[in-house]
Amino acid sequence: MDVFKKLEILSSAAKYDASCASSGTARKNTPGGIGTAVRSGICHSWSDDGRCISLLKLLLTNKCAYNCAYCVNRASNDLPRALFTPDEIAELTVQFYKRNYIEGLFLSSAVYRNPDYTMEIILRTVALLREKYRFNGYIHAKAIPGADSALIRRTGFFVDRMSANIELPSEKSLNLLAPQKGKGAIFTAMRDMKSAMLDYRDGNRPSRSRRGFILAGQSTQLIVGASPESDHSILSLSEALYRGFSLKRVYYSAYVPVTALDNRLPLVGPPLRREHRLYQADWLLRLYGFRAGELLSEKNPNFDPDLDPKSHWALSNMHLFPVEINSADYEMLVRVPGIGLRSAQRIVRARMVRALSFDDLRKTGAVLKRARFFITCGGRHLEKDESDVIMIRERIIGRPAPRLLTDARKRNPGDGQLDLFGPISFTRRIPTPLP
Amino acid sequence: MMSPAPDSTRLTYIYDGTFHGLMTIAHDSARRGIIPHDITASDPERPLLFHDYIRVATDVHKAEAVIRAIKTRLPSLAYRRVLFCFLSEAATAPKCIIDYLSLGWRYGAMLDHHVTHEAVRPLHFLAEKVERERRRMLGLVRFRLAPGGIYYAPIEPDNNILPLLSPHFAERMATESWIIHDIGRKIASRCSEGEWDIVDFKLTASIEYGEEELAYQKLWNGYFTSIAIGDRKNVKLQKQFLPRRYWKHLVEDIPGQADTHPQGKPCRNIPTSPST
Repeated sequence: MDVFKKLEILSSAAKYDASCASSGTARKNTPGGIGTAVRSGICHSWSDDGRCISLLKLLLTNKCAYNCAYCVNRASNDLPRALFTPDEIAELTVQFYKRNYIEGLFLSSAVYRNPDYTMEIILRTVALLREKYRFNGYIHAKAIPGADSALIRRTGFFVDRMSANIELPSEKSLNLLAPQKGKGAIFTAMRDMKSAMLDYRDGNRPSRSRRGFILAGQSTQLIVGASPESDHSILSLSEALYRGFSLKRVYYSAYVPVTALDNRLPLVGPPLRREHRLYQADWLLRLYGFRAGELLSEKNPNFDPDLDPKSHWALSNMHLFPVEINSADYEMLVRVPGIGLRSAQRIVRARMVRALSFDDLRKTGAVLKRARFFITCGGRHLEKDESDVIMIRERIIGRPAPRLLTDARKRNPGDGQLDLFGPISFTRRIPTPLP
Repeated sequence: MMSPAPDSTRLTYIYDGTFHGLMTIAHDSARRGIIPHDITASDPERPLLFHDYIRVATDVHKAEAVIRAIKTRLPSLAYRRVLFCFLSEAATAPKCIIDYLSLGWRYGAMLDHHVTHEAVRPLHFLAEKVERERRRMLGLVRFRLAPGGIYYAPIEPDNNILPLLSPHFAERMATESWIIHDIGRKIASRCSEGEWDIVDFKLTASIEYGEEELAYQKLWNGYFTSIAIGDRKNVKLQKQFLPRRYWKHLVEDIPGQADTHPQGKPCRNIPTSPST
């Protein structure tokens, strides 16, 4: 089989992994070497699904010993199979890199024969790239659950990031849909990586290695929509992963039906809107100081598909608003809908030298369409009535209420995505309007 | 607000269009306390009545003194922003820079805190625009291996970002020889063994690429197609990240490219489908 055919098979097999980041490490070139790493990462192209292409995303092989129901590469799926050699991958990576098509390599794999065997070839490939090809670009490698921890550790010294994908957000779904993988093996791999990172930070590192241990950290992926978990349980899991395993990123992948009919799985299009809301909430967890419990609860377990999670939160916590732009602290500013990290930083800077008016606020990049209901500038309001939650919700969404309600009624309540009475019911929980 | 010298609104500087020339103007205007009405690189076609035009001869020593002052007395990002703003080549850029610096000599290290000030915001805006294109272009430059072992990349950026791209690729591709050709400005950055310079440049004949190069272009195109998830097709989003004017010099064939500009010219104002 020629390289062109292999690349076609093994890149289409890798495309369901959402991670594309090339950020998190900065590395200079070495004498006689090729490549650098840029801390903020660089996107090189965008495919026609609108996702960025930063890394050459490949499977070492799609010949899989496992038969996970959600996975396109499951053993029982009838599709062409291929296997790259380490040299082929290294050559492709360097040639693409020199033409500036890519920022580096993302090497994943099906479980070929057994986890150790697969991990060993991954290790050989990344070692080849770093040592023989003197490649200093970005490398993200998969930690194969169940592989020997020594192999995972050795691989980690050659790469910038490693990931083990949890895929299904609960033990029950894992046992049902991926019985061979098992929760234990995945978390063991993640724990191995975390403890190796801590060892490295404490100076306990192999003397011959001048490279860091996965300096861009580890990440994982959760599939959304293949199993019945609510947004609340998914987000709580993410929060636990960020805290417990010090993960850098959790990726969410809307489930696309990829295999022949399996009555354990839904047969609908990918829940893209839901995935989008989860990403927004994920940002709120990592960078905005929110906790999962503030955004969702057992009673209110799913996001409103029409409303971003921050506005959703603000509308259920109207007693905290309005906040005064000229005095609120940064932590509160970033919680205002329509004010992001950058505009909050600009506001904090600008008000050090003069008090801000609404006009100034616009110039900081704040989106007043959303922010206007939650703020004052120099004690002045933009809206007369900041207590009518239903009206505010409609205006933030930008659609009149009647249509919204009919839409909601038309939708199938069984799809588990729409919290029909959520936004209306919380009007009752809101304290009387502030004087 | 600013209190300009009495006659400064009736004065326009004329300079040679170089960065050092502009810095010489900054020196002159600071010394005389003038905030000029405008700054131009060419003689006005129709000079204004009752208006003074001062032609400033570039003085490298004065210019370097201004650059040193920017680096020591103004905020740490000020020099980078001034330079980026200059490279935007916008008609308003020289005036933005002089206004910004005039305010800067008064506000010093706090200058960039005045993000909403009319003498600061336009410069921040232009500098950010250039930074955005620089960042985007770091990913979109496409090298092609030309006969003779030189990697050649044509680009047509809005801003003059060649001096900003070159250090990145000089380090990354230290063992290779490469040329990045800004077709619109007829200049190129050429690099070998990690050293680069910018020269006037024009291709005299089209380049015939070898079989190996064409094979890698084909591989990349195949990858570009197979990595997309069909069920998630979203061309609007793709275009948002990758505006059409950048497609021309990519190696990847983006579907729809051929029918929109048959001559292979970049189209800047294609009506998009009605927004939803």
